[in-house]
Amino acid sequence: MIYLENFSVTKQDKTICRVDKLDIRQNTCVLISGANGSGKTTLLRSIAGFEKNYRGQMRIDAPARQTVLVHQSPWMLSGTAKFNLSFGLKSHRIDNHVEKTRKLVELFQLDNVLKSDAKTLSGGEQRRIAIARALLTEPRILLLDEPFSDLDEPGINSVVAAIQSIESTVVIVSPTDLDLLEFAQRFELAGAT
Amino acid sequence: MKILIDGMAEAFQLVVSGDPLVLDAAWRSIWVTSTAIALATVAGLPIGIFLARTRFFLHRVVVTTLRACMALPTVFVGVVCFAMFSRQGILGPMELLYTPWAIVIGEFVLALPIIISLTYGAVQSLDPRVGETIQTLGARAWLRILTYIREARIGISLAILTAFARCVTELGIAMMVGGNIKSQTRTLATATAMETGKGEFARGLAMGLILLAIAIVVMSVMTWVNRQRESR
Repeated sequence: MIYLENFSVTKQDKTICRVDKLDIRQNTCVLISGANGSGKTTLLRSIAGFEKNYRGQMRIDAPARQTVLVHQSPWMLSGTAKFNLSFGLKSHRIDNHVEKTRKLVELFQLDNVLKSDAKTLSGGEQRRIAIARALLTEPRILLLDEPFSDLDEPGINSVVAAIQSIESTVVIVSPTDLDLLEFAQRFELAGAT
Repeated sequence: MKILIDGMAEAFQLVVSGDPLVLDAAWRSIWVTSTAIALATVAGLPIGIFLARTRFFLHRVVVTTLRACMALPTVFVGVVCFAMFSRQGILGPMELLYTPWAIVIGEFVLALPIIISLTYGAVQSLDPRVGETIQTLGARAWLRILTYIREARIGISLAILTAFARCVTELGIAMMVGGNIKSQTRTLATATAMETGKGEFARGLAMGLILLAIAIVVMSVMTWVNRQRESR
């Protein structure tokens, strides 16, 4: 699904991300951990197609429109939480999307904030909306940049439950190993030089 | 000072008494400018967004040229439009010269670089995550454009307002391709120039003050609309 070999990203003569080999199979969940500055976010952005200047080989077996990145600090579009949740649905044909939205809203406990201005919500609520917004597009590849920061325990559990229930390739980056993702494959990103 | 006070008093009197010539010129100023701005907005917003989101060969030259065109002299636009609409001009057969539509086209040319350049600036200054979020959620072209407009709405409102203010007060185009024909192509700006030329300074000032009042009303409406959207 995602294959990288001798992959590196260099900016201003400094290599900020380097991967010798990474092979992620379809419908698996991979946790990529590494120290600050090891290039985790750059790696996700490259897979998402936002970093074009890389060297080496990268093969993604999914259309760009079905590869969704949830940023480390998610951006809320102007409008309500409901507007943000439904944004991706406007360009994707999702069967039974009303029911799927209802289930995700329930799982992520977003009922009370649906009519609120998304920009005024707390960091944890914004993160849950961003993850739910991404999940609703039913991506083939879901890229999550430190998805558990800002989340309380119920929030973390709901995200883990959602990740386990979907049929997508999920790539999560985190500065530390996360025990709660026991089902995920591990990949340690060595610091770039 | 006395002449200013007289002008204000006469402006008030002209509006209250419903002077048909003043109302006719005021109405024409509004609809001609509104039509030109609406057309320039429809054409200019997608171009401004495209320029902000893509890079291509000569991109910087195009942006710089458009910025330079924000200061286009209205007389120059008027002369060019006159050459195009005159009998020998390429648009001569359309017989637009000395019609309100000639002024609309001239003001469209005047407004377009303003709307494109300021929209470019407004979208360019958005957080990079806006574009990435729109892209990663798979938005199609029309939804991307609408979302950029929504996210940059304050800057874009300012672009439209600036273009409106420039067009509603311009004289060169309206005079050269409109001809200041009574009840046909006379606008507040051409009427102001004409009244002053006739020595009716107070009446000219009155027309100018009405023009200023229109600009203030439009600006207030735009500010109110933005506040309403912000408070949603």
